[in-house]
Amino acid sequence: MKIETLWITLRKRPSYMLGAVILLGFAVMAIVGPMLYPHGIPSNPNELYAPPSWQHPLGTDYAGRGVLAQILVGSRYVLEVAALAALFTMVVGVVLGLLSGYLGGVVDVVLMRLTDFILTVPSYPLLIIIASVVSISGPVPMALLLTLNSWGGMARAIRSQVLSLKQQDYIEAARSLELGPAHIAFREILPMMMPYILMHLILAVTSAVYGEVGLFFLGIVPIQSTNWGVMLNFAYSEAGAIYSTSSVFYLMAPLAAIILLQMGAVNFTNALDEVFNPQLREG
Amino acid sequence: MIWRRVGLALVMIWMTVTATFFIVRLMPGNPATFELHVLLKRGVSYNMALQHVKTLYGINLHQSLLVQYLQYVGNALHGNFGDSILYPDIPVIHLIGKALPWTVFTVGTALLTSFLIGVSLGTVAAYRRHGWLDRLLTPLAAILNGVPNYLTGTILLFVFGVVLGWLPQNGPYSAAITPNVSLAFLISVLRHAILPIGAYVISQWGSWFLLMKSSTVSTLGTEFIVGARSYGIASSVVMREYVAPNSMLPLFTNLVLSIGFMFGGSVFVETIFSYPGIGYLFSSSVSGRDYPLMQGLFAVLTVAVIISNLVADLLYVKLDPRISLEDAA
Repeated sequence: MKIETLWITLRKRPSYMLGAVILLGFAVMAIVGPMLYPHGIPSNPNELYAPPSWQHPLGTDYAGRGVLAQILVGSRYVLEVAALAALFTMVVGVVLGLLSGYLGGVVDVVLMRLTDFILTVPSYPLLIIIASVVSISGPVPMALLLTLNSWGGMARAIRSQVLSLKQQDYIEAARSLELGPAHIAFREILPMMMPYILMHLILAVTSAVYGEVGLFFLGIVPIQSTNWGVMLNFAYSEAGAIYSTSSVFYLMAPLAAIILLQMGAVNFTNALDEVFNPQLREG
Repeated sequence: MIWRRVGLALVMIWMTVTATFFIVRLMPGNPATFELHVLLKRGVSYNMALQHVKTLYGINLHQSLLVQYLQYVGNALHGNFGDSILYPDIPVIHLIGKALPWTVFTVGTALLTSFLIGVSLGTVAAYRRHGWLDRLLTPLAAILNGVPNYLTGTILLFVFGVVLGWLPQNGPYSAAITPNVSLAFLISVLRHAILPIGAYVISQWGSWFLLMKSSTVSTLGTEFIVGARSYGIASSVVMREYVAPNSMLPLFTNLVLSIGFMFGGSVFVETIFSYPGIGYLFSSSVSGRDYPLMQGLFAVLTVAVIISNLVADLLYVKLDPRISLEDAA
């Protein structure tokens, strides 16, 4: 993929550009956000549930902490975990999908039964049970937990891609050149699937955000720092903010952040789709 | 072939029961041993403590793991998952039985509603591609599709329950009404169910809409539709009798698969609205560290999903004669 092609496509539609800008914005937020408050977010007991002001553009929470500050600071953990989870999901899904689709036979049967099983088990209850018995700390274990929930769909999708690519002539040619299964799987088939993988990587990030925020929201994962899910959890449990109209910004800010992220991801994937599948281009 | 599918389902059920056993039994600091130590520290005699743990978890700690496992499986087959800790002396299976109807009611209604909305709007959008409805709904559906239901639930609760105060905030029915067969009770139940159902529907309809739209677009391009039209069959009849049934076929598998997904998702919605279904029971069992209840709920949920998947596979073959069970597998 050429950066130029992407740029040209992005400029074609405002919605594409919007998607790219939103995702870029979130990335910058995750990197810079916590640096803005090196000593934590100051709380001010005289300003509980303050309405928006210059100092607190989204008002304050039940402890007088700025809502916007919490969104900014919380973004790093949320997005770091989501990015890791998406990456793990891709690696596990791609490797298992490739093995299953390319090798076939017993490997395929075993892997697909396993995939069926993981796709069948109600995913959130499984995550919740595991999170309640194993103590999760740090972004990597959290990301691994979320991966457990998401690799199945990816493996299934990759496998069916491999099955159709396997039939193509150039793979036949590679096989007749005796290039070996590892070469064919990783050097011939995998590159053809990269566009597909890349697009699903972005969508995997958003679904990891949902799962992660959901777990914090239910209060199952030990809370270490502020993040969007913790904000939601506190809005229900600590402060009962949900039942008070004055908390509108505290409650809605994390939700708005999630919806905005989803909007960015959807629009940007649409743009990528157009880059990778030129026949979709209209006019 | 049918027996093979049934056999697979049974294997999956067995795997689930096994997994729930080992999750609780083998995890570091597993709750059964933990409980035993707590009781011993309190000065309870070892035999008494063992007996207590046994009734709680259905686990005999002094027996070998294999014996414990076989006993657990035997009990689970009889629907016996021990007694709840959170609700003392009530068998887990009774709690589940009491909660299940609420979840089946809300999740079932929500599933059908979102399916009908998605399918009808999707058909319109496919027929009038690039029309105003299509241009409005397609991006909306793409954004809402997959938005978690705790998000829609929170917004609905806040807007309609708190700010506007139009609908009740939580519970299955008004506390002032005793459950009986009366109109007042029925209305109360329905009013309390609107927001939870709405939370599911808003986060679900988008995926039905997008699936139906793309499926209808490809059906419209097939030759038998062109043929039907060229016979002079009225276009409304073509839509109802030819296009819609064929476009809906691929959605059917997803419909049944999403039953499992929605039952799982009820954890969030029912927690938000304190709605006394399976999901609420599950989240309270987790926060109360009620492992027998957690185990039982998880097993029942998974078994329900496995059985509905099996039913879906069998039905699908009946619905679409082109598919054989081998393809479905």
